[in-house]
Amino acid sequence: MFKKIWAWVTANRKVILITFELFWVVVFLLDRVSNTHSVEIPQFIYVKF
Amino acid sequence: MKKRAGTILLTLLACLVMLELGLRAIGRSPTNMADGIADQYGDSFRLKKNVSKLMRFPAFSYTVHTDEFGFRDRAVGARDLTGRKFCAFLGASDVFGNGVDFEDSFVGVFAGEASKRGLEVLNLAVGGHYFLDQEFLLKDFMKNSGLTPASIFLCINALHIPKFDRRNRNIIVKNGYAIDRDGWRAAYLRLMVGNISSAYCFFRDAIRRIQERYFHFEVGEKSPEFLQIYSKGNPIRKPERIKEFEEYLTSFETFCRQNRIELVYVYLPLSDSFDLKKMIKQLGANPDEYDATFYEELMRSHCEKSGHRLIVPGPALSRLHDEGKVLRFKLDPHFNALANRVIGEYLVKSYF
Repeated sequence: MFKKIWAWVTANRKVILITFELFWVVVFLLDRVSNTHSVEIPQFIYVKF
Repeated sequence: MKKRAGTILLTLLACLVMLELGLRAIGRSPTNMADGIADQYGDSFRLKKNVSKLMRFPAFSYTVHTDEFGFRDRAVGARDLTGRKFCAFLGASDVFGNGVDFEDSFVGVFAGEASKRGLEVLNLAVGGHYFLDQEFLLKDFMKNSGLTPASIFLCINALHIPKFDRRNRNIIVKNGYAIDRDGWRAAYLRLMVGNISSAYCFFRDAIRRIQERYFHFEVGEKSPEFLQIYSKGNPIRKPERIKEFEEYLTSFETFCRQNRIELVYVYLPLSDSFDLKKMIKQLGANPDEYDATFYEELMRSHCEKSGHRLIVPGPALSRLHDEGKVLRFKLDPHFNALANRVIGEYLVKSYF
């Protein structure tokens, strides 16, 4: 089982690496946007989600 | 091509699992601003009766108990009010005590002192209710229980005065969550996913932040409600709207008088109103176009004319704010336990 998975990973290494890298770059950028100092506008939401 | 797409999907899935685990490990749990303790109430909603629930949010955790009437209380169960003097608090989430245990809410602090003086307290407030929802709930309670409070504390804030003639309609309650009936399935699905997945909340919040910052956000007609309510251009400042608002208050005062209920108004500032000027400047707007004092002055003027008592804990909170104390939760604009205690103690001092 593990050998099969490893063989699949090796065969698709390039696609997996590019997808992995792109995903984490997007996550990093989104996190930067969320954490950068900004004015917090208070919002009270109860019914409309 | 199909094989490549499958590889990408599997990799993304693995990355999402890693992100989910990572976010949870650093304490960023799934979050929603909902509570799951609502009950269908006609086409509106109210709190379920006799429930006890631990509410978990990243900003805070607290426990909600409701009594036999479906009001937030110290504990689940019966309230024997027969022959006892009691008062009722009406309001929204700030009066409900969002974010704090009952004992730490200002109503709870007041109730603790009131019970020593032989006065029982009921908290009818529900997060998301307007004045009309609360008035209906009060009248329904009086009709069904045959009980009449000796006093009513009508708690008013800047968020609700402009919407004084609105009430919740077209609400559907699913699994304890109150949702707009129109398109409720999609909203309910988003709510459920938001309740179980940190990764979903991460992407949702980041996308909202980007939309807010780069696409739609501008101070003006489309600006968030918090800023609009303090805008000098808000329709509530028109003389005819003020007249309608005061007529509404007068009709409620007449109801109280007819039932021999003492009516006390409590004007509660919003936690962020103390920082309004700073926020407006940071947004690049003109601070002269906004005014945080209008609603308090409106209530003062009305109470002077009508001869009703008005309690304003604003100055006590403002002093704390000026001392650099934090009055709200970091991720939620509701008052924290410190601010609630100060409001509760101020009410005790002012009322008794």
